[in-house]
Amino acid sequence: MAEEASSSSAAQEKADMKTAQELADLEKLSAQWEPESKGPLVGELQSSKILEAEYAGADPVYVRKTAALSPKYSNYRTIKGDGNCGWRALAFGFFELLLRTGDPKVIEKQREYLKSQNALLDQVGMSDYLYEDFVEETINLLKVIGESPAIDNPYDDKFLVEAFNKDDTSNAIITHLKLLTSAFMHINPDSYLPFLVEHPTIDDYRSAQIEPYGVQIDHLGVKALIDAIFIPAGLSVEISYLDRSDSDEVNIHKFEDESGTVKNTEDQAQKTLRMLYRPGHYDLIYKNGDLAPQNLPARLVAPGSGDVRVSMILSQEYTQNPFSSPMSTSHILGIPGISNEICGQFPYPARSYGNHDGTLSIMQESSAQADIEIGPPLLTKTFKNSHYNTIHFQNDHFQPEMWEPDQMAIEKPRISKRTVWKKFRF
Amino acid sequence: MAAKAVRRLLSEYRELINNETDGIYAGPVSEDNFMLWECLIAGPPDTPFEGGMFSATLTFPDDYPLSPPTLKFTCDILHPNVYPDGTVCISILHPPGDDPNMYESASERWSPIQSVEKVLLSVMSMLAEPNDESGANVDASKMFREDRQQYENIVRRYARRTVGL
Repeated sequence: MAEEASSSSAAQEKADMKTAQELADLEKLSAQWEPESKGPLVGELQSSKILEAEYAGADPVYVRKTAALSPKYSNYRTIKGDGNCGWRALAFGFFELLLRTGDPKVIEKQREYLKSQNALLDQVGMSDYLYEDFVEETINLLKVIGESPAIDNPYDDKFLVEAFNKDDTSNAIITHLKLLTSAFMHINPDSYLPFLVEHPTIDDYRSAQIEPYGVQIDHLGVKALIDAIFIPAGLSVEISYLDRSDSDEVNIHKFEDESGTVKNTEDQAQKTLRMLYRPGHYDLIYKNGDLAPQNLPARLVAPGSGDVRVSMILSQEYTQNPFSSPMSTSHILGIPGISNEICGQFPYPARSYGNHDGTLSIMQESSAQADIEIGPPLLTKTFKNSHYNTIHFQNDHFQPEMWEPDQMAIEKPRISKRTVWKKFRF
Repeated sequence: MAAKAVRRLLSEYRELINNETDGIYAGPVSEDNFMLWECLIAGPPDTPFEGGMFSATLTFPDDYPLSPPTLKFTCDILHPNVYPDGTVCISILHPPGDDPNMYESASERWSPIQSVEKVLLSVMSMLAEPNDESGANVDASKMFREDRQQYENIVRRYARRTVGL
């Protein structure tokens, strides 16, 4: 009996140990678990209305700020939240700004400059056989975008998005920029030393925060990267902070050349990378003017010239464009926010809707489904008479020359913003 | 991904052969698999490890050099920072954000600009200066702290064993 009891207690103990082991294993697993970040490394351009929709049910501060954001910033590009988003956003933006100059000479000059920066890497004791693979990717991509066919369509981001979604290329370019930033900080310690919080020396900071792959960029890193790469290239960066701070709009911080040289502001607007920062994450945002083709008169694309007018004129050209997407616009006109996407994205013929397979197919699919599932009841009065209605004169994208009185009476599927957007994969 | 890693490892291998560093020897186990290396690390002079040649394997991840390799001793070794199974635990071998010894000197963190050579040199200096606070091998840490004589005796015995004595 006693034996039995002891053997059963031993079995019990064994079972407990097993559970303890399992618990330990589970604990280990949970410690290692990271939320799987979805989506491409660098996403396609999308309408910034998506942000508004994303925050529709959030804290009022966010609702207010995102609502104020989308009229000013027409487009939005996601960057994967894999710990490298800040670096990747800046790296992609750097190439994108260079491509948009449409000037092979500018790109060639940058290529030469970055090649020459190898000397800087040598100077801080990095061995060429360790950095050459990274440098090569940057140089190659600059070569690609500096030549035909990429350079022929400077507003077509196809080559860049493709390249930046290849792990090898994308990560090598980030690493190259990290090394340049690190070396730059090493030789200019005085500019950064006063801002160190946790690290005793610049070298300690560089090796802990800048050089390792997968470490989030912090404000000081952003500043150093901009000083090292963007400023010498005549480019600037603007970060919009979307957080819960008490204000009606995002707070904007601009990093630019502080050497005091007077700038042509219109020119500068074309050379500014805009990042959207939400605590812990960076994405890219674009003003309408950022995406406009250069052959449009400057007054149309200059920021602040009136969003309504800009979009009207662009859309007009859109309707006349022989290359315009075969997709029926009336099909999506009923969905608030979508027409904005056309205006924002259209600017260059090659950037037609077809480039956005993902976005487009999802949208069509969901609205098609909605047709079947919900049927086509009339738009509600509230909606019809609100400024969300794209055929309402108070809508930002109201286009009088396309307006037909009959439209007001057309039966449209009643799809709320939420139903459409929630089907998106963010 | 791995193609990049192989290319990088090739140039590191070439560099190791051309500019030999005293006390460290490393190379791929076979030409078919560049992701697994064998290495030998000489016990640093003026330490109980002196005279030993410690063999280890280096295993490289597909995204090398973004992530660090792992290093595992294949000979008997007693050291506070070496797990009983031979795996070495020092900060240069940990991916960023997973640093068990936050206080270790900055030069020892992994980044894509680190190399096999740097790893092996770090391991060599780890042999000379154990960090008994990180404690991969708790018993070894305890012995190192409380009974240094016994620790050194065992270390010496293992060191002799590595060269067949």
